[in-house]
Amino acid sequence: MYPHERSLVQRLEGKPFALIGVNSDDDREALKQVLQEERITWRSFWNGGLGGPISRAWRVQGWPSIFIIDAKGVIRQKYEGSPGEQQLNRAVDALLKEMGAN
Amino acid sequence: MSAIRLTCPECDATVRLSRDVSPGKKVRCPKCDAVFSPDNSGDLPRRSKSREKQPVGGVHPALIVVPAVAAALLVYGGTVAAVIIKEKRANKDDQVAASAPVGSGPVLAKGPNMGPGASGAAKGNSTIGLNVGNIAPDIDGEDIDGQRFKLSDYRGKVVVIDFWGNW
Repeated sequence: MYPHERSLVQRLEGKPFALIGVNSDDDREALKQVLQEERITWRSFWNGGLGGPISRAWRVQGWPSIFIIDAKGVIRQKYEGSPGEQQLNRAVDALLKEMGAN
Repeated sequence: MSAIRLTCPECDATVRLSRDVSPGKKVRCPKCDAVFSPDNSGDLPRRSKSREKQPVGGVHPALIVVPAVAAALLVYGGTVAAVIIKEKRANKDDQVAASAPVGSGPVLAKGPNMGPGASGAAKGNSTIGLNVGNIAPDIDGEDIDGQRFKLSDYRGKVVVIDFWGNW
């Protein structure tokens, strides 16, 4: 699972890029197992279930939801549901190019 | 007209007058001395106009009441409409533009407005919020192993935030 995320992280290693998850599972211990098994190497915040404080603060109502933030902290893209690997690659590459890092 | 001709109702003589005669004024026939009024010559006396029925004050009551009621309705309706419009505008002004950040984040200089392939309309400005163009709120929390970290630790990098679950 999560091949797109994995390939994104691998492809952009060494670039000023980070993939940060916000996880809404209920069982934290079981999730630790999943991270190992699925080779999920990128960091995630623990949200504490679907009603947790981070997803509430970001008004997330559907999973997955994806935000792309530029180097200055400005939201540049916002998706409810994954837009697909191609679109994500395009958006991230454009922002990296904008900061002269691509 | 400076001269008028009349007919005497008594002797049928033609009476010429060098002056206008107002209706109702009397004229003496020079031939037979009969006295008559020009508008009545040969006719039966007519009812005077002053005897015709007139409403008091000369105006029909409905002509006063209907416009008054209409005017009152307009004023009332206009007042209600003005209150409703004012409330709608007040509601619009009350909408909160930005959400409260989870943690505290530094205020940044403005970034560029539109990203490539931006999805949807950009309602953002340089305030903290959740729309494209807003400065993202900070996140201050724990990772799955319990280590604390913040979104703002990654300032200076392009960040993809992925809200996900393993289900």
